[in-house]
Amino acid sequence: MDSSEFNRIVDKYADVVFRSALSFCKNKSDAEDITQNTFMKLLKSEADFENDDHIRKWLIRVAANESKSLWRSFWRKKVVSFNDLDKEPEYIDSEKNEIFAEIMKLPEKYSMVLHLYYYESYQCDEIASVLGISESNVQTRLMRARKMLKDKLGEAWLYE
Amino acid sequence: MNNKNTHELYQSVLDEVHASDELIMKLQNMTENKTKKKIYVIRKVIYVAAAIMILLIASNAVVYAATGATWIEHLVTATVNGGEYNARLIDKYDENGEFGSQKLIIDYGNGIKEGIEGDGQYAIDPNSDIEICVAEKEPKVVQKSNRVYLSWISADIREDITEDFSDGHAEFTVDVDNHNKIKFTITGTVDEYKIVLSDEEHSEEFFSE
Repeated sequence: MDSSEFNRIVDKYADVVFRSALSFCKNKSDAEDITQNTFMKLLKSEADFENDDHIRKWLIRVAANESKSLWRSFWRKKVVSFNDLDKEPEYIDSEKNEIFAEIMKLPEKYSMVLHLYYYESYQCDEIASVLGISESNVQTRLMRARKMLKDKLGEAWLYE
Repeated sequence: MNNKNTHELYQSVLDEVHASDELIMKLQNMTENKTKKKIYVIRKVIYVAAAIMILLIASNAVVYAATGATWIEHLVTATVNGGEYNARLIDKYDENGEFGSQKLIIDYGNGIKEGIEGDGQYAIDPNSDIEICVAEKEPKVVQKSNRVYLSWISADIREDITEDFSDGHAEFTVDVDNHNKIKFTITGTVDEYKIVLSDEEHSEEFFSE
């Protein structure tokens, strides 16, 4: 991949990958590492991408795999906490601040599914494929994630 | 729950999260630094339980040449959990002089050495002091002088389980911090074992090689 094309993809998708990584691992340092590793793999990849949507999905899949690799470290799971996350973003809307904080507190396996479903608008079968779990498992995690947020946020999560 | 509204809500919250300018710059510079990248995670985070290694790079760099390939060995001091150990950091280059990978060998003394092999993607910059989290090293059951230990050097754990493990089952608990305890359950034999680490939320298994 030539550098101009690579930089175009960085400009377009760096935020997307970083948001996904942050949702997956809840830690800015790890999210930045995952983002760098993901783009490094893109740089080395010889895959033929059909279009930008294909690239986006490829990046999300790689970021998810990078996150799962991170979780294999038991100690890392123990030491990373919400406190490690910088206090950004600063929302003007306090309700959004609260929602972001609660999303970041979800266990990784739930936040990952939640992000792919609500942010990337993946279907359950696509999420199952990306994460290597069954579709029913995706549905269960999604249901539990929703319930956790609803219990914590009440009406704020309903957002009617 | 109105799913469409929930989608919009979630997206509006996450849309305000952005990669930093510094990160974007690092990504854009990747094309220029393709042959040598920092791989080991280098950061200033204080880990509660994980071992932190600080490498102080000494001066002696020795160049070897064999079978066309070259490697440069740096003699370094590694600080792991407060203890200082001699270590060797080896840069490997292929026959074309291209950087290949790195290996770090720490000598803990008493014949115990730990080797960390780079994957060619990450590299330690020998010109700066760095911190490396080596928390990914796995726990092992080892036998020494007729005693059996659960050994996890990176996490600074060396538990004598000789008596308990004699019937093929041993357990002990480690305080990670003020709030968390991790239970170690070891079953099997010294040659063929299974180690389960668990706390209230997670569980992870390790097996003999």
